[in-house]
Amino acid sequence: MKGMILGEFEELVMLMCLVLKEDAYGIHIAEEIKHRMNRRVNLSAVHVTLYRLEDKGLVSSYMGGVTSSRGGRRKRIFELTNSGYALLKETREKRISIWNLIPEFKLS
Amino acid sequence: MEFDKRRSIRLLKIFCPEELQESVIGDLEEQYEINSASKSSFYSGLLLTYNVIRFLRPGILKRNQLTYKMTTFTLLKNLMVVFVRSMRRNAVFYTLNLVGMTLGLSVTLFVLLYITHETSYDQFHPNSKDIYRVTVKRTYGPWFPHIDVNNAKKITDGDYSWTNTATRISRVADRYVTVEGKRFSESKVLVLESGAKFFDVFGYALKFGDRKTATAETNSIVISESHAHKYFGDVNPIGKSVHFDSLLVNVSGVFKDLPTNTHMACDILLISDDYFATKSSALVYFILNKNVDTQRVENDIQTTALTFEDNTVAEVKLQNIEDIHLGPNFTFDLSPGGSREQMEMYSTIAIIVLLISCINFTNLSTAIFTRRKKEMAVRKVLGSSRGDLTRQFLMESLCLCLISLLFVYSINSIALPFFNSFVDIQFQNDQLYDVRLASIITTIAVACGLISGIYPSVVMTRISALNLFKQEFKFVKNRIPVRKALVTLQFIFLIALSSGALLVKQQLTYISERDIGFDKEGVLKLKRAWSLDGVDRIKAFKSRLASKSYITGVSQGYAPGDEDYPMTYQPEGFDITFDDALTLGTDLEYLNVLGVEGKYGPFFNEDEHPEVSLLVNETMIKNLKWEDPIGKKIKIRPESANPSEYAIRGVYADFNFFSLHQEMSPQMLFMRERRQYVNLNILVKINLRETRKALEWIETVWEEFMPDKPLDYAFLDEDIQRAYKSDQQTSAISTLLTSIAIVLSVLGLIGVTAFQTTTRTKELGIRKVLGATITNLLIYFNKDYVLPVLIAVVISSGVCYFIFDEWLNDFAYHISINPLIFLVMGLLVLVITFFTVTLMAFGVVKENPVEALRSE
Repeated sequence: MKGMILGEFEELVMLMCLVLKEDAYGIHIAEEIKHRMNRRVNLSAVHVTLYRLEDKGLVSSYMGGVTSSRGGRRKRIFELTNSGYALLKETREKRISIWNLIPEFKLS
Repeated sequence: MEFDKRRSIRLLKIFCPEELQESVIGDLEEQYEINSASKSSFYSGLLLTYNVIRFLRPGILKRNQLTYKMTTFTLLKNLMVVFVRSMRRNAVFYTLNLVGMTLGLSVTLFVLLYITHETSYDQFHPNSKDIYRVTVKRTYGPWFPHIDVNNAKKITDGDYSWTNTATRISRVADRYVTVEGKRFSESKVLVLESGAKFFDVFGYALKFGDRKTATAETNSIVISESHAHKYFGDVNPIGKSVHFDSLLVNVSGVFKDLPTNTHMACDILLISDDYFATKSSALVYFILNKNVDTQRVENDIQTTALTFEDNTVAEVKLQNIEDIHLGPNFTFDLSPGGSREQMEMYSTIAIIVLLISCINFTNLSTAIFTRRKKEMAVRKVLGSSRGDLTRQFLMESLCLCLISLLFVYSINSIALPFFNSFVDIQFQNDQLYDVRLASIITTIAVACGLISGIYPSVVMTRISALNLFKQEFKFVKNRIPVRKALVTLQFIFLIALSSGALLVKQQLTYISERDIGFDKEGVLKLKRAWSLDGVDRIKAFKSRLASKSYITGVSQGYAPGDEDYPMTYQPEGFDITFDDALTLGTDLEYLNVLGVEGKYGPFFNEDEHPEVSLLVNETMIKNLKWEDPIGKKIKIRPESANPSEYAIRGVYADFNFFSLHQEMSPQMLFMRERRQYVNLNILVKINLRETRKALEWIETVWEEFMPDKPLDYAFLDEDIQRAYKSDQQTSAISTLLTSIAIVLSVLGLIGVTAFQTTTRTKELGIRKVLGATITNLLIYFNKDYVLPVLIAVVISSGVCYFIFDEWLNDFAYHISINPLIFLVMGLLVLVITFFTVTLMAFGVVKENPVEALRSE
């Protein structure tokens, strides 16, 4: 995973995938980000990001079961791949190591 | 707002890749549900649309078939590369294939060109569908396209509900036009009266002059563009004056040259009331008003306009201008009509040649594909479906056909002059590139590619990949019936064509060698000598001509081969009227010049001749069963108001007046020593050893007597030969096509043999090792063709017999079909096959078997 850098929004979306587990699909992720981060998110942006991450091999997707809502359409559920999870963790650790360089904000 | 929602989703479906659609739409729907919980349904609908539009972004769009297109393109590129490589590797086969297809399509293109020409006669007039002419049947039998001039006037000038625009036309032949001292002999001249609505009826395009006024005044002339150029060069000739014969006329218009597909070929329109007044009959063309029943018009013309002045009109029929060319033949029409049979024959031949090409193509393609089995195998292993391979091969054969189309066009452009001289029509090069013609021939090429490509493609791709990798084929045996059937079909065509060509040749030889009852050698026909009139002038002209020793006889009248029609007559002792006899008006020298024997009667004894004496031919006597015909009386045109009656003064031997297509008809010869006018021709018998002198003398005498009329002469034997022109064309075309068919078939045989030798190399090696000699092996290759040829002989002789019996029956005098012809032709085909196959197989057969067995 050398040289691969996660964008801010990408990181957010991946985190949400982790959080939501089996419910990690387009609109749910978008709503969740909206809620928790209190920012405007457009559905299409989430979708495009997810597809891009999939292309990079950071997430994978499968079609969920049929539900009565959504006009009977299936959801595309996203989950992190191992490399995705590793990259996410690496990003987090790098951040923390930098935070740790600042004395008054030392976290651990 | 249900509607709004669906529309948005439909919009999404346009640009969103299919595999993403389900989840995206589901999410959008969920969003809508969430929104509609808090907002109005209209607002959430709007939001939905907005969200859909937001999806219109590169991240989504890029995922569309773009990648899919990329793979197709790469695949296509690969297929092309493989195709080109295969062409290079099997150059011989592909060349044979291309040559065959090109020949087939080339013949087809020419035939199409001919057929479009023949079926498009006179369609260039803008309202050709409404232009009609009046034709009449006379009570004495024949149909004419012209009617009595006074009755014609009634139609053109009268007030009728069925037409507002009608014009009378007459013609005049062979006159001199003098322009600034230069003299031109012109033959395609139509005569109009002043004020004729000629340009209102016909859609001639005028280059100079005004449509309305060009024909308004008498003593004016409208000429074609090429003639204007010939007379005056590049200047506008309007208002210039020329001499037509002795008449001074002004040029009042120039029309664009007419296309070749018109029945009314014309270079000059003479508008002259004086000329027209000398005519006794005229052609009537008019524009039929919309929604008029032609039957009613015919009745109208017959009852009111014609009957009271012309009581020989039996029937009136209107003829649309588009139907004239291929319609029934009329006596003394403006131009001889076309022949539907000829068109049918050409099309049949084109179809046969095309079929042979297709069969060839199939055989050769099979051979090519066999050599590419490894490629097929690899493709199959890599995941190509059978459909993919079939499509690939079909595309290849399509490509080949389209490539050959390019060759076809270049060949046909080069060969067009030959074709022109063959069909006697002057086609221009750009007529080949006519959009309609080009699209038809392209369609045919595509169809040929598909039809002949489908069998090898389907059969070859059926084999499993495993079998394709193996050296030997299992399928060779399975497919033999189809290929054999194709080969047999090809032999059938071949034998049919070659025996047909031979039959036509035999018949034509038979005809040219048959005794036609008169001596056609050395007889000159000075055509249309009407202006020599008056008993004394004619006499003087004749004696002046005859004063030289190399002129051995001078007569006048219709010559054999001239267009003529039979008359009605009633012989003594019969109640019925006959309508089968030709009547010829001539002078005493006629039979002498033509070398026809007299049978009874002292008719070369000039002293005994009364004013007119009637001679009849032997056929007439035979038909009437008269023992002693001399002195018997015959009434001519008994239905007319004042029929004339003559006594037979003599009988002469039969001679064929028309071509041998027609039965010998009864003839009546009216000999008149003192004729007031010349009946069509002056006939001169010359000594052939001094032809040049004789011709010069004739020209001198003609100039003396008729300096202002062009001399137009023909040798009778050449003139008669023209009646067999279409037969000679048939003969030439069947010979040519037989050669093409033989070439094509040889190409096909080369393909099949090559195919067999490549697939059977090992087998041949083993056979040789086991003791087969070269002769054995060659026989082994050849024996497969004996049965197909035999079958072909049987079938083609049946078909040929049927077709050519009909063709021969068209001749009154014809050979009978000798069945041996088919056997001989079958044998010939067998010999050709033998040579081709042996030549092709020999290289492989003579090789050391070690080579063959070692090959992997």
